[in-house]
Amino acid sequence: MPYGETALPSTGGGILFGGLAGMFYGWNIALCVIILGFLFFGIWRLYRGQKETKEL
Amino acid sequence: MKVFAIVPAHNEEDYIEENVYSLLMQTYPVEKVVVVADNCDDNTVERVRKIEEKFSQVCCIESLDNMHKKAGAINGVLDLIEEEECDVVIIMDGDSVLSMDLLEKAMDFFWEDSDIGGVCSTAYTRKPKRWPLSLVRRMEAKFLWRIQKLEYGGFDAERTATWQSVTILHGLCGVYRLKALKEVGGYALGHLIEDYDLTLCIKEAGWKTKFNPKMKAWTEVPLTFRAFFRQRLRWMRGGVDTLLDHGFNRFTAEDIIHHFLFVLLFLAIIGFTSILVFQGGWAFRFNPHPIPIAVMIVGYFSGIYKLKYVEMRDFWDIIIRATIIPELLLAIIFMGVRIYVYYLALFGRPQEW
Repeated sequence: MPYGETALPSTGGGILFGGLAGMFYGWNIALCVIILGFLFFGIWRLYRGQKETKEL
Repeated sequence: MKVFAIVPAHNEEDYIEENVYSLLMQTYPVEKVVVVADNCDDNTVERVRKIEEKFSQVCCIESLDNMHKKAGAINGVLDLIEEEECDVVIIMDGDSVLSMDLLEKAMDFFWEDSDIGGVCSTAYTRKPKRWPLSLVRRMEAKFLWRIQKLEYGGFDAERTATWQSVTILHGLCGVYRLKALKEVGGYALGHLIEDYDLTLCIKEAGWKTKFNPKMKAWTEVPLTFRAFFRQRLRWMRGGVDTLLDHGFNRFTAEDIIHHFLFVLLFLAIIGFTSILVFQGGWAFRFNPHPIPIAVMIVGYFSGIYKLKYVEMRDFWDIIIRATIIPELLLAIIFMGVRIYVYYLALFGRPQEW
């Protein structure tokens, strides 16, 4: 069976982390940018996969 | 191309008949269906024998001395199959059922590209035939079934995103080129999740692994918290052990990076929470910085969008996903489980199946 989407908890983790990070100033923003990058990368890959698998 | 099916089954009397019939009813013919009744002490064998009497292509093998669980049961049959008599092997769990055209869809890949080593299906959750009678047990079972239904939708979304080189040809239902299986020596014994290791071996041997969302398969899921967490502990530990075995290469790189990122995130979350607890007063002022807010919004709506991949989604699926809380709690618990798994793996602690 599948081991998991990834080790990165995409939805729950993103919200939890974003929410906690939002309570603080400054230094956490770099991490948020990385998470955002991963989220957008995931969305782009899903969009591409959907388009390609439609033809199967 | 000739196709054989291998079904390792351990005490699957409730599901095995549907399973075998779903193979026999495939629109692409299966030459041989081999059910390996692995150390069964229920009526699995009797039920398969009844089908065996009616259909000559069905065969039941009992493995009573197999110490290597599913991997040992499958390897025992693979050793008996010669490359001259079969080209493709479908391997599926004893509690799964397939859509009738699954094999036909899989075969399209094998016809088109001789480098395809394996293809896997979607993974949907089967609604239990009966719920527990006790109210508490029934609520537990219904909650877990629904939460896993949502989770499995997320798995399929991830598989769609990586369909050209799928991370794991999952054990629920994988269709393999026999030559690829023979080349990697079948399943490695002693792994907690044998499918991840096999997929990496196939990729490392130069074969392609793909996913086809039109191949549909359904499986039973654990319906008690105890069984659920045992399964997840096994999956997570098996995943980490497999990565440690294979080391850093182009097929494991992404997964390893995710693990490092997870540790970074976990430490950050612990840091934030500690500050909240110890300096509560000022820390509760929300900083309306656009980046963290964007993380929350994108995370939330990507979760909502992935509902598209949840099979037979209904009102309650949407409510659970939209209100976040149940899945958020589960994410927090899984973070703890994952940290525990790192501890077990790094210190080489034994882990039961």
